Order: sequence, then structure tokens, then C-alpha cells
Amino acid sequence: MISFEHVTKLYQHKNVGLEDVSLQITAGEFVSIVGQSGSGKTTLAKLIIAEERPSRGKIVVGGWDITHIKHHEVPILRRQIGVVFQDFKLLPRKTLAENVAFALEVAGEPAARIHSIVPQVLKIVGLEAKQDRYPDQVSGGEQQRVVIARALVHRPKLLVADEPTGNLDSINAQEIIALLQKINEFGTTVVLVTHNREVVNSLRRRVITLDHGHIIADQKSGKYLL
Amino acid sequence: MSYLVRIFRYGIQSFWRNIWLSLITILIVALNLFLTTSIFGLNLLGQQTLSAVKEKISLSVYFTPTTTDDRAEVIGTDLRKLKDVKEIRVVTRQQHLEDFKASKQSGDVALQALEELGENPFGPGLVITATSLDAYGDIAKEIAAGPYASAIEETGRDYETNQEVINKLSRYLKGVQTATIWLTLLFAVIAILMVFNAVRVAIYSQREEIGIMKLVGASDAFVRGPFFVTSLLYGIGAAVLTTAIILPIIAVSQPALDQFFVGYDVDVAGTVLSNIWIVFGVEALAGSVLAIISSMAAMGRYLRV
Repeated sequence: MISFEHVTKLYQHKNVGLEDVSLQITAGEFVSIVGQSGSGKTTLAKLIIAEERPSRGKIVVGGWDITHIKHHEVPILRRQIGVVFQDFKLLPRKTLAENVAFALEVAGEPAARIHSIVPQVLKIVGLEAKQDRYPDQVSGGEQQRVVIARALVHRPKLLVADEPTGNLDSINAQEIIALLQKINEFGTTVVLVTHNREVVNSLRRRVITLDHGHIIADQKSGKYLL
Repeated sequence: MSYLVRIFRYGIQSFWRNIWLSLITILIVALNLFLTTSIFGLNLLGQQTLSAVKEKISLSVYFTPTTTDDRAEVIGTDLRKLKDVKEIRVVTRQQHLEDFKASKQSGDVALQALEELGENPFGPGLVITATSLDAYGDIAKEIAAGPYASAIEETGRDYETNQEVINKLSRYLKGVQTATIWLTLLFAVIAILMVFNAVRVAIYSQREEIGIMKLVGASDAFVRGPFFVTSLLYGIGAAVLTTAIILPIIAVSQPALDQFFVGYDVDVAGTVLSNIWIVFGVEALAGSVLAIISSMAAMGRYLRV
């Protein structure tokens, strides 16, 4: 599903984001990427969704070599990957249903299909009863579930979640992780970028640990090492 | 289809969300369009005046009273063969007399003398129009040196004075045309900067939405499209406002213009009113082109998609 071959990402002034990183993530896996701040976790997530380009190396996502992905191809890639961020990125002036529908609207999906899919994904995340509320009328956990619903509307084979529990209390965090596990059980590959020790340890799934842009551990059923 | 409809919907939403900025942008672009249109209007007025004055110029040749109308007709036919002669109108003896009477006030000494004379003392004449202003001198020379010179009593040389006026007017109009080009460029730059700034502010105020659009897979066209629509609304809105300002101004100034140009075939108001859709079309096209140039520049600078 995801292949990094000797990937290096250098930022301005030769700041290292990632250095000579190689990894393979197969379809259907649930992988946690852990590490301290500045370890390169978010850089790795951004490289997967082509928000950043590698300075060296090769990246393949879903059989597509995105190392030198063309500018106009990025939207096509993004529609195949669900993305969840810590800061939710919901539009405050749209209802929860409209926020989810927005992802389909910008992709040019027909209105009939939008009307059919949106209630389905809101049901998966347990928010069908609150679909007409605005983001500020629901809890942080519920907002994150809307983001997950929005990420699911394109039925992605891969879901990248960058610190999805970062702004949540432990109960809401566990609910979100449970939801991600449920999505993974349906066959979607999940890449969870986190520094939440409790979450990682409770998952007992593959853990890749990064430090200063290098992979320092890759455990099949691991724990938070640092 | 729904894709385009959504682009237009988001564009209109963006217009409304920044309604005050949109209105101010429209107002300033309209002001620039109005000033440019006014300068072009003055140019048109000048051109029409020049054409009308040129139309009025002619070379008058009057024959001795013994020359008959038929003879004048024959001379006229002959002179039509001259190079640079555009048109010749024959003035009969009777017509000449009537024109003379019409030019004098009742009780004038000349009219009294005419009555006492009891007969028509005027010969027939020819009113010659040349193809160009420069040709009048040559035509006059050719007539004076030709076989009909002995029959000519008087040649009106008004064209010499008129030519001087026309040369002055032409020089003035050339100046106006140069100023028009520079002022149009200046106003265009002001309008472009205004729309550029409005689109920049719109991009800034919607940066969150744009970020999410990109995140969920919106194409470049979908991200940029609404800003094009917003800019087009600025351009078309400015054209509507400009036309709405121009119409009453023309309606109010028409009587004054008619009075000023009495006797001349100058009708700026009529020309504008009978071509109002073309005027609006040109305003809309100019406004839209300016808006699109500005929005493209603003998006290129501030919208990284």
C-alpha cells in the first residue's frame, strides 16, 4: 500500500525532516508512527498525501509512484486518501452534514450521490442525529468524528490520521481510536501519527518509531518506546 | 454541470461574504470605467464636430447675371470631371435670390434696393464639395484658369478660414487622443489594483476553506474558479453601474448639446442611446477583462494550489 525507499526530506537551511527512511506498509495494516516533536512524524504524513515532495528517494502509494507527482494529479491522489488532522479543519459556517458533503462537492460528485452517501458516513461515526448542528454546537470528539466521516466519503483505501486525539480528552480519544480500528476492520489501511503513549500501547499493532528523521524501531506489535 | 454550478455558487457566496469590499471595488472600477468612457465620449464629440465642420465646407462659385441656369448646369457637369470634386450642387438664379433675401432682415437697405431694381440681379452659382480639405485650393485655381473664368463673378473663399479652424481642431483632437490613451492606461491600472486587492482579501478571508478544499481533493480549477466568478461579478457590476450613470447624464446634457451644435449634424446622445447595448457590452467586456487580469495576478501571487 505504502512504500518509502531511502526517502530524505530536507527543508530550508538543510533542516532534516526525514533522512534515508525506508518502510513498507501493506494493505489492511494499522500502523502507528510515533516519536517526539520534530522527529519527522508529520513530515512522513505530509509526504504520503503529497503535501510535501521528497528531496531524495522514492514514494509509492497504492501502486502509484508519487515521488514526482504532477501538480494537477495531487487532487486525484487526495481523493483516494482520507486525511484526519488534530485541528479538525471543519468549516464553522457549515453544518456537520454540509462539512461532510463539502468533500464530495469539491470533487464534482453529483448531488444525488452526495445526498445518499453523507447520511451513511455520518451513521458510521454515530452522528446521524446531529447532522444539522454546527461544529461549535458539538464536542471536540464529535468534531473529530465528523472529520473522519468526511475522510471516508471517498471510500479511501488509506486513512492518514495526524494526531487525531491531540485535542481530545482520554475518553474521546479512545472513542476516536475505536472508530479508526472499526474502519481498519472494514479493510482500510490506517496510518496513525501520534505521540499519545496510552493510545499506542492500547492498540497492540505495528509501531514505527522515529527520532530526528530516522526510523529507530519498527515493531510488529509494539509499544511506545520513547 | 453541477461542478460549474458549484463554482458559480461559491463565487457568489464569496462576493456576498465580503459585500462591502465587493461594493467598494465595483464603485471604484465603475468610476474608472466612467472616466474612461467620458474621455472616449469627448473624443467622439470632437470627431463628430470635426466631421460636421468638414461637411459644411464648400467652394462657392457665382456667375454673372447674364449666365443662364442651363449654362450653370453645363459648367457643373463639366467641373464634375475634375479630380478631387466630390459633389456639385447647382444654385439657380431664383434660388440665389431667395438665399440672399433669407440672409437679410426685413427692412434691410439691400432688400429695399432689390425691390426698387425690379429684377433678379443674381447669376446662378455652383456649390462644390471636394474629396479632401487640401483639394479646395487646387479646384479654385483650375476653375479660375479654365474656360469659364470670364463668366465667374465671385468665388467664395470661406474654406480658407475654415481650414484654419479645422487644423486647430485636428491638433486639439490629436492631443485629446494621446491623453485618452494615457488616461485609459492609468485608470485601467487603478482598476486592476483595486480588483487585485479585493481578490487578495477574499483569498485571505477564505484561506481556511481553501486549505480544506485542497485537503479533500479539490482541483485547481475548483479552487480558482470561484475567484474568477467573483471578479467577473465586479466587472459586470461596474459595467451596469457605469451605464446607469452615463444614461441620465446623456439625457440631461442632450438638449444643451443640441443647442450648442444647432445647424451641425452632431448627435453624440443619439449615437450613444441607439447603441446602448453595445456601450454596455463594451463596458462589461472592459470591466471583465480588467477583473480577470487582476484576479489571475492575485491568485498567482497569493493562492498556492
